[in-house]
Amino acid sequence: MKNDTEKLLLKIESLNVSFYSKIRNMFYFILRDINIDLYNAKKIAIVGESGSGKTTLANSILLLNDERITKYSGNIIFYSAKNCCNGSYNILSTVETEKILNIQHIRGYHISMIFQDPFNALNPVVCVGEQVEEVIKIHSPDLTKKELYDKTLDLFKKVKLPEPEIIYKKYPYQLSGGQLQRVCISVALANNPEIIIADEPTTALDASLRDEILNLLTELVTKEGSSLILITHDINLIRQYVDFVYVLYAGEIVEYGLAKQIFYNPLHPYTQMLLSCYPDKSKKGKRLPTIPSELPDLFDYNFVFGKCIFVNRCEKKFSRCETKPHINFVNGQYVKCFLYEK
Amino acid sequence: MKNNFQNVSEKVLVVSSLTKTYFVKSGVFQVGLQRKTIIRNLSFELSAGTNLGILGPSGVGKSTLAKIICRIEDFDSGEVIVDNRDIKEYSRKEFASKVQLLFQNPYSMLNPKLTIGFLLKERFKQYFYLQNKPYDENIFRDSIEELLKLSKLSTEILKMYPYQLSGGQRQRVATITVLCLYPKILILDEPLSALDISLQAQMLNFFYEIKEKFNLTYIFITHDRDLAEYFCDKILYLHEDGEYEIFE
Repeated sequence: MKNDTEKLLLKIESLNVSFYSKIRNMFYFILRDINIDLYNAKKIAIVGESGSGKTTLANSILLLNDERITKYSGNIIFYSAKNCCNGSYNILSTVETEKILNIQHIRGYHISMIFQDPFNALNPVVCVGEQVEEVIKIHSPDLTKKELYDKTLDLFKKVKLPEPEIIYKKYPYQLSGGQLQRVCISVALANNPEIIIADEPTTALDASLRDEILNLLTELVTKEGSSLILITHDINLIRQYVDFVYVLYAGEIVEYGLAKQIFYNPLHPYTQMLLSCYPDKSKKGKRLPTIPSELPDLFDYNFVFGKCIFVNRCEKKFSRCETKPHINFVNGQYVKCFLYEK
Repeated sequence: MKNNFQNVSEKVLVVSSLTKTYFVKSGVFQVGLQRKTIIRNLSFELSAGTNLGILGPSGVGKSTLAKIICRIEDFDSGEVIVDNRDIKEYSRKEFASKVQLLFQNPYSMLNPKLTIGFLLKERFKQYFYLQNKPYDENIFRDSIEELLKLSKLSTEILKMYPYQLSGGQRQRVATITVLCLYPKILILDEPLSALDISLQAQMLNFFYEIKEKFNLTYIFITHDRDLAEYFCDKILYLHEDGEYEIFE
């Protein structure tokens, strides 16, 4: 993946995110030691089960987690490619004033996000066209009303909404789920951001709309030259839509590599189990294998920081698994497991 | 446990030349009514123990067909025969123990203000009412224990509220509430599309287990071809123009 012509856009370095629990009166670490590199015009996916911290990771990039209970450590460095502010920004910068100035400018202009549920993402009492206009207007206040209107209609045409003039004046309740998600995509694309984060863009929609929306999204991202971070729980999607995959389990990245390689040759026991759970014709009539036991308790610091995170569910465990593994490089894939240690 | 399963080749469901039309608003001011045929001349048979998968793009009438078989919606012409009798001849009481429907979203199936124990008790009272028997606490306890054991849930769950359960547990509880009435046909309307893959596998195994236990016949509505090919013996593919294909 590392190539001189490719430009680094986002670098997440040893990121830890912890939440405060009022009941236990202690912090628990949702994400631990996350390292992600995102290059120019690449599509990456973050795959994991529910409760593995996918959404927290997405929210951390734009600092959308609840400030009162969240602690960050590590670096999220964003390398801007636009003319307005060349250079690099640490989103987690500790200087208070600098941080606020930066993040307001970054949200929607450099990095934009598509949320899980389009029904709740839009304001119910403002017509959808105005909501798209607002996003453009905040970041380029000099535009006239006519220009804003034209830009919005162009965006609606891009996301293949039928009759954009009529859709412009409609309220969210008058549109279907698929149409609303298209509006949300047009909001995300409004300022040609460098990075688009799509947080499970199809889970709240009708299951049959999934391919349609994802095809549209990846097609537009490729056309505009943006990068995409796709967050999903469906490991089957990664084969078709993305280049690079990070597998997240209970707040740690256990394996990462090229999407096709991970899909056809998974190395970590967790990824292998996850893929073997997938039903298809060849397994007809047989019981599917399942992953035994449950996600680990994140309040148990000895377990979380001392042992391999998958040890309580792993079938291939041995004595060394009671300590923390390092990341090993095997056949172009990175895997956090003692089985592949040299 | 009730067991009236004798013949494997027995036809549980016969649908013959079923037609269903909707009226949709049309015209400039949305005042005109236009007839739209959603299911045209559909016929198929289902023998006991066979899983039927219904596939097709959205808006093609998959859920409408399920609702017709459940008697939630009426149809224009044709015949639907469940267990050798026309579904229109059944009284509501009798029909409840023949066909049951499990919805896509387990969140909306369980009343958030009631405990799981209370919800299951209500369902069992309905079962006794349908059987014309007085309510018996002992039978209720035994059956519940057996059902919970089958679905690998602990009895502590009876004191919990739906919001305290995880997605997979909630889906299993929803399935138990339906199984309380011991139906012959269970219609699953996209039951797995909201779950993780590892949970999906657990649920599919669970559906297999209860199938053996209760001699169920499944009608499985899905959009996922791989899943349908794994789970179903027979696949009904609906096309947009009302045409259909059946694969074995």
